[in-house]
Amino acid sequence: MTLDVPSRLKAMTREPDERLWSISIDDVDLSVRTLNALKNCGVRTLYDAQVSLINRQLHKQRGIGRKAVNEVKEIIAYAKATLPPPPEVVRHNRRLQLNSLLLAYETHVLALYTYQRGEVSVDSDIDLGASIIKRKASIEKVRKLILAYADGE
Amino acid sequence: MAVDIKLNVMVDIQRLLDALEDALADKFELDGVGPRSDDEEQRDVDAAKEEASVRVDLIRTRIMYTATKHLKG
Repeated sequence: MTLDVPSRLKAMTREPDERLWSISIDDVDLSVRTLNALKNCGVRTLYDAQVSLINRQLHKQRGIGRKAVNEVKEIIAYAKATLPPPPEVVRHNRRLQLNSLLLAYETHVLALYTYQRGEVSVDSDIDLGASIIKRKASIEKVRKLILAYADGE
Repeated sequence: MAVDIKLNVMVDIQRLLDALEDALADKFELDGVGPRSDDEEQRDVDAAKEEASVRVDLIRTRIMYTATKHLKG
């Protein structure tokens, strides 16, 4: 089954985040009680903690109450917010950025044709010559941005 | 990205942007064509409009693909 990007991003929030593999529970600011309870359950990293949360295993563990669960959730949310975004999100954002550039390019090109054909209302205050020059400059500018994008800048 | 690949990508995108401009020009011209009294002629105009629209989308997709395929991440 192929999901569209927003659905995939939504689904990702329910999937364990592999970026959390590298974060040991010893390195985050958990209370001693919660830390010990997690260690007793075999949880070593935030990834383990997240998997246990998703599977709802953590809630069933001895010594882990609602307060501890919320503490773990908060720490995971904080860690995820401070880590670089996952590649999927980076790719999606890049595509959005390029899409916006292409839309801007098309808009400027179509506006240029409209001006070049003199298709503006007679009582309009638009200075056709100046508008054409301005649109051509905008087209050139967006072209350069698209090329810079493809260049990886 | 290796220099020669990068150069090819840049050339491809320049070419595709030019093609997009041409396709947009065609689409613009065709959008300005009013309704025809002759049915066959109207069908030809509609088909040409559809074709121009598809061409714009195709070139757009091609640009998206060319511009992103070599990017890391």
